[in-house]
Amino acid sequence: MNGVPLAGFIALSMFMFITGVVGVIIRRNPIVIFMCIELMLNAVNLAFLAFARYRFSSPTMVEQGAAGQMMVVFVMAVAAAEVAVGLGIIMAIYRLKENIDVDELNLLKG
Amino acid sequence: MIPDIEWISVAPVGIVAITGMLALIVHMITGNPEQQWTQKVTVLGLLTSLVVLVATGGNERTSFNSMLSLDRLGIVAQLLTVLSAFIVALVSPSYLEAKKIKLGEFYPMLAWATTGGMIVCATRNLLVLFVGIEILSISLYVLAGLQRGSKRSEESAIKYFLLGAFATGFLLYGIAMFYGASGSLDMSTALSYWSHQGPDERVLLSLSFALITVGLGFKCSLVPFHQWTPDVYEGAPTNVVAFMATGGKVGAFVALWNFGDSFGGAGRFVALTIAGLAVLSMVVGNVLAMGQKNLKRLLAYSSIANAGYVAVTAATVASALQTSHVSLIYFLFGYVLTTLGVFVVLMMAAKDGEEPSTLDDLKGLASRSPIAGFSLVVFVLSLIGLGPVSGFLGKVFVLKDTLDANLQWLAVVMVLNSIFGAFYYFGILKSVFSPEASDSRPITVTMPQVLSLAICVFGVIGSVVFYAPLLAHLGLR
Repeated sequence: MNGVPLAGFIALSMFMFITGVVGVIIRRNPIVIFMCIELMLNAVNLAFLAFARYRFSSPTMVEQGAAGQMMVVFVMAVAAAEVAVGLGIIMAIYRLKENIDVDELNLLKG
Repeated sequence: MIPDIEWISVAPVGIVAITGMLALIVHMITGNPEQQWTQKVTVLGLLTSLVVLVATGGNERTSFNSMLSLDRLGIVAQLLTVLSAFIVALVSPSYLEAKKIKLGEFYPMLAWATTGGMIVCATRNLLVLFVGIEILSISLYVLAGLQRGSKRSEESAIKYFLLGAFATGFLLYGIAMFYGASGSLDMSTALSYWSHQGPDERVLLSLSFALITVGLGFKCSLVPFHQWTPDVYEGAPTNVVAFMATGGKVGAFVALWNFGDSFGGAGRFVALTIAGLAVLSMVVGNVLAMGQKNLKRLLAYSSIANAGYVAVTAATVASALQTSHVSLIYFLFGYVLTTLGVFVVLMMAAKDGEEPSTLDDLKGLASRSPIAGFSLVVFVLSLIGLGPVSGFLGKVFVLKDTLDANLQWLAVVMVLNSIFGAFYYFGILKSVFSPEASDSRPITVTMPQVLSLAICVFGVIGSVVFYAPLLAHLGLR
């Protein structure tokens, strides 16, 4: 197969994933944290599709290839459901406190 | 080719999912804030599912092109998940009313969380596992934030949500690596790929093992992925926590066990990694519980320690390569009923809509309500693992398996931790039977509360008294 090799896609996917992880750890705004989590999920999708295309696309491996592509559809659907719930929770917090910074969420500790 | 569909093996899950939808419709039609009908529909649906499970749970089976594999463990775990949802739905009305939570979404969400938990129990396919875990988790995020006017409830919801979604990312990346190595999403095939493939695939599989361990560790609240547990337990409404700690955990525990079983043959490192997490969870859970004055946080650390005991069984099965479900089934049985019972007692002891938050608030509970006090004795003994209670038998089975698997050091750590844990559990009993009461008003006990306490007490003691016929009925001996 011509063009970008599989390793290129996996490297990009890992870069996206690590960016997401680092972002979740260092950022303090829940919406930005949430965007970083979405970045992690997109890294997953990229990895699945790259594997399906490069390793499991021969005619003898239709089932294996389809499995990876199916997984991507499910990941996207679940990510959408998570957005709905997550933004709802963030809205509820904003109504109570007018401030959504995660460092200010410190009622529960000990 | 479309494979034959065995509807009967998904019937219990389907009934619970449909119950959730029906409950939502009923809530919309009746629209009354007390939700009596919503609650009745949910209780009835969960009961139907329980009956179907018991009636059809006779034999192990795989269906849906082996995407669904119901073994003994899966069937019993599904039973426990539904049972905990049933009891929570039974005792919730008075609690929700006292807390002024007028949202009818509670019962449908509970049913859907149960659906997710049941799906997780019944599969070794990573796609189905992922979807099940997400159905369970997303419902639980909503439930944790159910008390919209309370900053604590909302704070617990966002902490649970952000950390849970973060963990999902790790789980998914692990699944992607597994897929890259094998082209399959069925984790029971891990071993054959491990032994037949080249070094590249082994790197991918090792990476997938590490990432999935992180993801499942979060869901089971194993140390060092446990930080969310005490905060969420403290902030979320108690009836939600009661389900989270029992029905919500069973699925994650079974997934961890299946995961250890599937990856076990890859090498000693699998068992040792899980055993390491188990030791950390037991030690950190018990040590942090020692200094706790807050009851719900104490129970959270206790559940972290219990997750450690479950991880011991997962490490055992990963190293022994002969699969015996008995120890985990018995342990889960005891854990679920005991924890449920403790939370029901906590909800009973609530006054003016505030459940007891510290150990001092429990003082004199035995004189205020003898039923609550004495059932708590049974539950605490079961948590310690002392006397003719299921907690004792569960731990004995786990220890025996650990010795059989040549993990003597792990058995020693577990015994030491059980002894250590006894101290703070006895602290609970000490306050309950303390003569000076924080409040002398007797507790009015409602019918559903008595019924659920009776189920829990009977289960905890009965599983020891009738253990031979029970095992025979489950087909384990």
